[in-house]
Amino acid sequence: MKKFIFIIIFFILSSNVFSANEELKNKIYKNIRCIVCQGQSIYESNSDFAIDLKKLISKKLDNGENEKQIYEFLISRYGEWIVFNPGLNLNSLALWLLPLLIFMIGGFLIFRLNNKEKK
Amino acid sequence: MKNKYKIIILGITIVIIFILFLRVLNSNKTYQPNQMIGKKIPEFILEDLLNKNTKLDSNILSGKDFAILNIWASWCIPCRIEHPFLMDLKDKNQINIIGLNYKDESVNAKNFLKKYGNPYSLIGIDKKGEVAIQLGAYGVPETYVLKRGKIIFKHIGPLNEDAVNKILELKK
Amino acid sequence: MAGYIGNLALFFSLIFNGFLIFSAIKEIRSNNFNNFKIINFCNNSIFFLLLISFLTLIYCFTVSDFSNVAVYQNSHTTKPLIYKISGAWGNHEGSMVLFILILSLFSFVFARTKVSEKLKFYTVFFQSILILIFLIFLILTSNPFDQIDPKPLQGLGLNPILQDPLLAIHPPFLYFGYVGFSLVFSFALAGLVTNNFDKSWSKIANFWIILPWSLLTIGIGLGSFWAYYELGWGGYWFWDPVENASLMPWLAATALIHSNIVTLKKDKLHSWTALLSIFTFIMSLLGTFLVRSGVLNSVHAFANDPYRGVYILSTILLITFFSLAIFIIKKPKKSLYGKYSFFQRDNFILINNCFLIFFLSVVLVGTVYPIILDAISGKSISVGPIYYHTILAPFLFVFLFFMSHGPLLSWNKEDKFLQIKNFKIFFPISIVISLVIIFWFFDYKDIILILGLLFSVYLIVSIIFDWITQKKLSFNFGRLISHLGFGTLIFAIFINAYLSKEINAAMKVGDEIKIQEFIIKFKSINKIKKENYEEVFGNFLVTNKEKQVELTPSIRKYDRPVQFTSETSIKTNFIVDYYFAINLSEFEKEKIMVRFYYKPLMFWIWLSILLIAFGGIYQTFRLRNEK
Repeated sequence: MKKFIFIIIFFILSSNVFSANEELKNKIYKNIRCIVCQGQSIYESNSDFAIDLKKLISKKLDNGENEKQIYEFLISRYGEWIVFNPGLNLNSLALWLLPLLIFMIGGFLIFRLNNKEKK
Repeated sequence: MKNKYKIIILGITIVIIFILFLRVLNSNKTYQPNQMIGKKIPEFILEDLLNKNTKLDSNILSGKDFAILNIWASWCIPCRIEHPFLMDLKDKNQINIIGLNYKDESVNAKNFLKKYGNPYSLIGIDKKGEVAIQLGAYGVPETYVLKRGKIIFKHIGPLNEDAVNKILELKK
Repeated sequence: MAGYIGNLALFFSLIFNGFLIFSAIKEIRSNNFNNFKIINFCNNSIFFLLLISFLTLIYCFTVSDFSNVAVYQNSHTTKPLIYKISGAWGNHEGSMVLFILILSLFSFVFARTKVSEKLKFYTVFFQSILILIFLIFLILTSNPFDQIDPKPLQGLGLNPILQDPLLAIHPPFLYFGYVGFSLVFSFALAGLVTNNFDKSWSKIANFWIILPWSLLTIGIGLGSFWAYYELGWGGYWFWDPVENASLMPWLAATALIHSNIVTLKKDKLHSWTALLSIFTFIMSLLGTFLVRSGVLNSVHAFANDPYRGVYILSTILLITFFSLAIFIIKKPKKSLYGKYSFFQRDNFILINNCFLIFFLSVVLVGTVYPIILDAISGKSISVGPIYYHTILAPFLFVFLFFMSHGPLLSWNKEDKFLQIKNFKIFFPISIVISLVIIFWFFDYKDIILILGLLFSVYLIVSIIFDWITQKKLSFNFGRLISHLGFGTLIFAIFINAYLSKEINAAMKVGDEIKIQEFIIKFKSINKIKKENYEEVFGNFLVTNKEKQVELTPSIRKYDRPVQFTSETSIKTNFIVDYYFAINLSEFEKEKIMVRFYYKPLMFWIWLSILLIAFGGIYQTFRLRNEK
């Protein structure tokens, strides 16, 4: 009886672990660009390269590597372009700053208009 | 500000945008990741294609002054096109060429070499393509130039005259 | 034979166009705006010639006349008739003919409306310059009537993914949209040049802004819907550069609609409205350039040709330079009523514009920056959805808040206290509704989710309130519907983003898996054979508590050329979509890869987009009838 309960608990726990792993795996797949495709992630692609990468990432996750390590590995070999999210670094600074600058200019102009004296 | 100046500034901005996008249009579209240049070749050990008892060990490459690592497959058509260049590099320039047979059937690979010639001193079987990924390759053919195990040049796609000249340049 | 007629028609339209411009310049120099007969005649002829050209192109496709390059490259005798026809505009050259035809159509229709002679003259003049530029581009680099000799027996164009009804109608809607903005562009230049940019300009412009905008909205919605059911990954918007290319003119045009209303009601904001009118069409041109020139890396882009790219780039920059130069020289004088009290409708529209331009700049920077960075420094970065979501979300919430109160403000009186009163009504209702939804349906609470629901519900509540307190509904019906559509769109997007579920598994026939609350059973497979493909259907039963849904996704194998496609199976009860797709497995030979998605409120996303468009269409009909 004890053995039976143990097996049930094991399956329940492992199914949770697997589904959590599944989510993480898909999350990473969606974040890695398929370099030989046009704009797709390896999640969305069935090209050889995408499949190879998916196998490799799956293996690395099973070996206990975390998300950050996997991205670092891929970036060290393929460059920043392979990961879809622009982190906050020197290259992507303009990406974040430019629109904010434009918003602030707009806001400033409106503020001035609001505080003008009526003619 | 006088209108004249505004228009001049507008004109200059437009010209700058034009030049910028012209550069974009003329730039190379294939992604050329150069992350691995300057780095030491990653470690791997693979079985040799032609000799079951021999292993292709990445450490061997560290010992060589100058070598080329060429990723190829029998099913890859551009590989057939670049093959004569490889044969020339081996025969005429005595360059040590190591092959990485990528996701191929050994029988087909051997037949390919029988038909077109074997420029390789050693050939590692990368059945799953895992070593290629370690090298930062994403297709076939790709060619790496190594100096004492360090990657100093990478050519993506089939070799051509320019690439071969560059390689010979680097050998000096 | 038909090809020659089409080609001839193009050449003649070029000649008439040149003649029109020549006569117009003569009129301008003589300062004598009396003789419009020639110009009208030319304008009408150009339209009919271009129409003939386009129709002959369609004819060539329909009869599979492969002596014509465009037909050869993009069609095939075995294509079903509808796709032969839609193939005419589904390729670069054919779509450029449609592009120019629409430029001409808008000019043709506009010339028949009641507008002062001088304004009409200049609008037609500027529009015909646009037509000239694009005609030259077409004839020199992308002529669909180029001939091949000897005539091939069969065509090359048999990509099954492109044979889709939605893909057939999506381009015309897009084009009527973003090419349609050319008219208000020309009309704005006309207004500037004749110093007639004011309230009466805005009254006429209103129709010519809202109509293309509505059609563009539908075009974008169609594209998104196609991506959803065709690409098979459950997504509908990817911030893909080509999608962004259509979103940018849409955002600019939305800002323009609102700015124009301020000019219409209060005779203010002339410069800004004029600038936006020019800028919107420039965004359309930018989109055209990005998609056709080969700079983009996208699933979607037309076949790349950098030579063509240089032409388009030069054309667009030329148009940009001259239109902005005219704006600088002929900028409307500052209006007399310069002050903006904060709690007044015109001010809130200004704020709306500020936010919309911000959104536009985010999309613009996100799309164009990686390209430029790569060209300058050789470094490549990727801009994915997380960038857009992170930077847009907080601003979207504040935007929704302003959008809720703006329409309730008066045009002429500042009424802070009324709005505070409104807030005290809206806020508690929205909070209660949002919290009920969150605690009922969601396991985990994310601050972004809470804010997203709160602000979209707030907007919807404010619209219902506005609706109830309307004295004459027909007056503001268009606005109410469109705004409501926007509110429900944001609401549906958030619910969908946080409540969607996805299951991936490898299954063989007879397998049953239980993951989360779903049981998926792979019941059977059956095969059918059609004329040019074989199809294998998987019959699946998905059980969710008591509910059972049968889904039949398939894999198709086409024979000429050999190509595999995955066809999704989607069933909806209008609240939730059950979405299923299958793929052959690379890893395990007997099993197939199965993808199941549980997608709430997808239907409401499509409905919302239709509502937004419908509000605009209602408004344009009302405006037309008022004339």
